[in-house]
Amino acid sequence: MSQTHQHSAQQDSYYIPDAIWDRGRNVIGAFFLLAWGASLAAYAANHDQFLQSYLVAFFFAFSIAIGASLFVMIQHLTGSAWSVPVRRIMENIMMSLPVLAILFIPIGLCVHTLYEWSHPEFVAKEFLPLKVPVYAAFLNPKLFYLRAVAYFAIWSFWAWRLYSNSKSQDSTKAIEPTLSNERWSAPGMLVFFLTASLASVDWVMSLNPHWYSTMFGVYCLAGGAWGFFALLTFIFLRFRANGIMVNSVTIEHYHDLGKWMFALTIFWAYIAFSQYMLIWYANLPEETIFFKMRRTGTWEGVSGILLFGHFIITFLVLLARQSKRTLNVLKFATVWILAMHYIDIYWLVMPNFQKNGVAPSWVDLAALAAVMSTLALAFWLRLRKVVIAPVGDPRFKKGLEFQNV
Amino acid sequence: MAEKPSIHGLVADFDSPERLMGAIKAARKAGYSKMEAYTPFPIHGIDDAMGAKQSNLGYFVVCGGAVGMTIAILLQWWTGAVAYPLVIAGKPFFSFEPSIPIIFELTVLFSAFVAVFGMIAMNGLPRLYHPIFNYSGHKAITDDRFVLIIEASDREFDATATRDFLAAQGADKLELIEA
Repeated sequence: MSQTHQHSAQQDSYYIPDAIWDRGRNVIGAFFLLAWGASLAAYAANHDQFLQSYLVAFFFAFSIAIGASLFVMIQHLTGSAWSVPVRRIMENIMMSLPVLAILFIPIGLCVHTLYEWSHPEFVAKEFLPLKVPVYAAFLNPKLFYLRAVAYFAIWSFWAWRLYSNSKSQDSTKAIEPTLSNERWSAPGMLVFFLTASLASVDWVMSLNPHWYSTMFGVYCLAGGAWGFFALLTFIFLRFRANGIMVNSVTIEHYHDLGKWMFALTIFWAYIAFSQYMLIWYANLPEETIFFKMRRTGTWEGVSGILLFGHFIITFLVLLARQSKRTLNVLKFATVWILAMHYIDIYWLVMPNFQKNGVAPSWVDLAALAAVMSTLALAFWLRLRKVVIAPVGDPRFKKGLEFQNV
Repeated sequence: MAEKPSIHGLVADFDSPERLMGAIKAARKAGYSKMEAYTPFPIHGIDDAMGAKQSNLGYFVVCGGAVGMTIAILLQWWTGAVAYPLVIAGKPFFSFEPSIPIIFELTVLFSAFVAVFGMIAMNGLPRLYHPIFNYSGHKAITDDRFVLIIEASDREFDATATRDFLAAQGADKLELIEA
């Protein structure tokens, strides 16, 4: 087995053939135009509905990009070899962060449509009588903008640092960029975790300004990392179907990607349950409101979908070793996980607006397609005529030969 | 002790993992199936080369987990709602929300017990005697030697033919050992 891997991995070119690249650009480009056309129509037709759908789509994409960043840094910190062949694609998903800064603009411009706390009347009526100055001090538009700018500046800088270091290695094969990335990754983990948690508070938790959960950030990041591994596996399965890196990303790598999806399924459930149980036990009205909204009317059904679909079914599908080594099972799992992660974000955002029950709309799909096609286009443009694996990394060869015991 | 000692198998001693792997593959090709390899460190791919099957332990672990889960549910339901029903902070006598941590813990505990003790039992441990100790060079296996034993109970085993076969694979030393 190992001999055949070594020999055949050298047959991979690590470039996307021009014909496939052109076809990909045409498909993504057509999607991009169509999705933004539909989104503009949706915005014109129903301003509020579009922005709500857009926030769900934006946060879905954002959580995946943050998951990618955290795991790129974890790969550097642990010095792992198995992930090196797939790391450049991880880095490219991470590089969605600067693009997300641009995609944040509609949310920034329409703060008053989405967030109750941005209205002075609301602050005067709800926050000021609380005698807890922290609400009004934290949730006000000026600081909200300032924080958003700071988040995106930090994330974009860090992502660019890690990405350009890694790329500089492709031709030089020097070791210094690897060491530099290790040094950036240690503080990076801390900085990303804290800023991304705060961003989750700003953009989603504050939709219900009185409610708070100290676990909320971890909850979003756990789901995001889960979605990230599904997206990464999905991309490599698409590559495989088109004959790209077929010999380099072997069943051993898919097995490890499957293990991460499985592990994060459990981690998400652990965090989600911990949040639920603490609120259930304390039984304080300002905390239980979150679950009351999500257990009323048709929202209870969506909560059920999360319990069974997000956790139990995914857990059972990915439990056996053999299913993580069967590409058709993984193909199903990646699509399933991405769908469940979207429903999870929808469940976090929409009950704040749809108080009479869940009301899905075509606008949700239009906004999702607009955000994802924009990021996909930027992703695809970065891959033109460049190597799509870190071929200069000192652990690259070891990563190709890696096998599960 | 007048009885003639029975033979456990033929030891072939190699100086490198590559030679050992080559010998294992050749032996499998020649039709041998009852063999065992001894090495100072784990060698990638040796399980596949020897035709070792995936262990069944995982199925036992799942069963262990299911038993742990059942015990946890019954324990909390019986103590909380049947034997000593107490109203605490207005909560129901039994409900799943506060019971999940115990259910989770007992599931993990029982799974872990089955995994560890099942692994030990399926490996035939503890074992105080093994025929490999009769091999004159067995101490070097923990240092720098790579050993393959073809057992006498193998259908293809023949003291001379097997010896010639293993010598052709580059074994430095060949020795028949007692059971």
